[in-house]
Amino acid sequence: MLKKLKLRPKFFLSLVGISIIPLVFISLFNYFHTKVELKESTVANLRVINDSRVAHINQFIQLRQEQAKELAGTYVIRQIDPQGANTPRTVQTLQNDIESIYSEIKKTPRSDYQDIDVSSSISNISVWDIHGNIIANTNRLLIGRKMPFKFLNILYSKGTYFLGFEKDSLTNEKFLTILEGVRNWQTGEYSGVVFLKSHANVLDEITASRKGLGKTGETYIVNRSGLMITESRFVKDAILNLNVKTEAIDFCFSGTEKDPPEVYKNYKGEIVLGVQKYLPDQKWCVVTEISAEEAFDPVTAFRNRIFVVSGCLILLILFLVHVAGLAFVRPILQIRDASFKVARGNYEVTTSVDSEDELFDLSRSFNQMTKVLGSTTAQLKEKNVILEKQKEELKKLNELKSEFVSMVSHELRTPMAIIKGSLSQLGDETLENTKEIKSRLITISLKNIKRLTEMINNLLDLSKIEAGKIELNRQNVNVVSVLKEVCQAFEIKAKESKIEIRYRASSDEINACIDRDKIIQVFINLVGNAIKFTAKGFIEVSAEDKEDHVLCMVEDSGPGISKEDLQKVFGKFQQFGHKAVSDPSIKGTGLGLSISKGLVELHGGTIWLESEVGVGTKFMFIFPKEVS
Amino acid sequence: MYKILIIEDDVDLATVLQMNLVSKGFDVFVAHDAIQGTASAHQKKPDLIILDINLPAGGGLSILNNVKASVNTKMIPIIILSGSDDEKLIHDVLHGGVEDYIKKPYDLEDLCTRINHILHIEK
Repeated sequence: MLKKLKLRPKFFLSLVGISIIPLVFISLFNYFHTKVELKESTVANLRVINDSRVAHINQFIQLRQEQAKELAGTYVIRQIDPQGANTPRTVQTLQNDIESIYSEIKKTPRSDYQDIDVSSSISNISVWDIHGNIIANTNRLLIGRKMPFKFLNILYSKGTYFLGFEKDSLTNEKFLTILEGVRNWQTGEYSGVVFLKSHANVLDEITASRKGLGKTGETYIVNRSGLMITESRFVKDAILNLNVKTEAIDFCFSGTEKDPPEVYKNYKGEIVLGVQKYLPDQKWCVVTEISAEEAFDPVTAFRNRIFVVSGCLILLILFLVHVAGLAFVRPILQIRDASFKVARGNYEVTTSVDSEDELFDLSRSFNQMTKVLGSTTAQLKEKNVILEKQKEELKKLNELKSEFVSMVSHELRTPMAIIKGSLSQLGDETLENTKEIKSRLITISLKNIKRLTEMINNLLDLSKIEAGKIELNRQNVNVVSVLKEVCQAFEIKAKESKIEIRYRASSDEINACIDRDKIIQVFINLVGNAIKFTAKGFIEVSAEDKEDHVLCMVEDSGPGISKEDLQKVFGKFQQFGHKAVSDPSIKGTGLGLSISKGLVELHGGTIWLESEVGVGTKFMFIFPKEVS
Repeated sequence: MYKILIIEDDVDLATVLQMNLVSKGFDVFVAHDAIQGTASAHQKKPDLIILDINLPAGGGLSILNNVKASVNTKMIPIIILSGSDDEKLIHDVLHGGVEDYIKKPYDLEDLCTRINHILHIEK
């Protein structure tokens, strides 16, 4: 599940889990442990109280039984006839005795047990004969009445019988009645019963003592019928009215050896802690209970405190985790966002983590990486642009090369065709080739072989120039001497064509560091062209000292070049003018000007021309005196 | 005797070709540029024209168009003789009504065979 979460909730949940789960565990453990301990101590306390109440009750009942026994043992009562044949005199004496005993008891209170007033609690003393007739009673009105006889049999076997608890519904007085068998003093036979009825309010007094029982604790007694026989702390008029059906009472009367219930619902349905004691003689159950709410009040308060403290702690933890999470996650998110931007090509992004931990290192190295990436990308872009340009140039060059190859092959085909045609005819013996024809064909062939050779040489020169493979043999040269040499070289040819060739220089000595042969080659190409095309007039070669440069010129009075052809002059295999066509002897290779341009440029110079149709053409080139 | 007009700017080639064809028994005229060539085609009424494509003063194509456009000359068969490797050009001229296309350097026997074929000469 954690895998699917983002970093922040993952971090948050992890920290919260780590800190809050133990806290909750410890709190709950403490709470339950304390509750159990409290329960045990409360139950122990209740047991002490219950035991003390039971002891009171036992003591009280025992006292009554002793009184009954004492009465039954008196001489007068033991005079009763076992057959019930009591004389009026005996009865009268008995009545007198009982009354005197009763008044005696009333007069001299015996306070054998703590604060319980025993004497005042005797309500009635009665003596029965063996037939159940009341023969003496402290209440004279009752004498002669017949009492139920069912107890006698029990008395014969047990001697004493705890008759039980009763309540006068009119006066609301509560009583305990005890029967004690009477034996005849002579025969030892059962001859009657002493009936002792005492006020039982003392039971309420015993149970009403709520020392150590707080606000909700109480002790009460339940008889065998499940009715409460003491006052309830909460229910009015409970005595012999309130039926107590609780787990505790069931357990009490079941007589099992099991562990007694300690927490259960009381007669009001409230959860209580309680202990019980069964009084077998009376068949009573003495119960001491306290409401769980009160008993657990300290632990509840403890729990509430834990809740409050834990709640505060959890809030604090959440806040701290949130803050800590932000502190941890923010730089990571920052770097992540920055990396998104970088991925989109924004290399201006920087992250600023203001800590000195590993995240700071990460941020710093990320920034460095971005910077390097940015500059590398920029360089790559620049290089790409350059490469693209170079690619275009190469493409153009390649096209030019293809064009050039095509041009070369085209130019080579014509002399080859001439040679092949000549040789074919010469070699065909079926043809009648005259001597004159043979000689003409051979001459033409040789001329064209020369033309081919020249063309190939020029091509090689041009290729070397263009490939930068020509090394200039620079020397200090007087350009004026070059002019003279060129003029001399063309003197005869010029004379044949009836053209004046002359030179002009701005001074006698114009020195420059140049390759003499190459510059002469340029002049020869230019002057050679001029002679080809000029029918009459002049050709002038000149040089001018232009401080650190030398400006050279070849001017003719030829037909000039049309404006559209001016563009093509320095191109390869370009030939112009009618004269060139009509006279096969001056047919060139069309490469001379390309070579001249290359050579001038090798010297760091430039070449250009001015021409006017019908006036003449002026080729000019300028180059630096020294190597730059 | 069949009349053949050679229109070729290279004087040497024109001369050699002329000598070749004369030796093969043709009556041969030579022109060196487009203007001369067109004029010769009209004046001499050759039986066949051998035409170079790269010509000064108008170029071979202008002659071709001119000859094929004129009622008097449009029936004259034309063989193109060229050093060009331009395939588009070759394609264009072959579809422009010329009879054949021969690349320089020509083979004399082959050239004669083609001329004979065009002129329906049986050897």
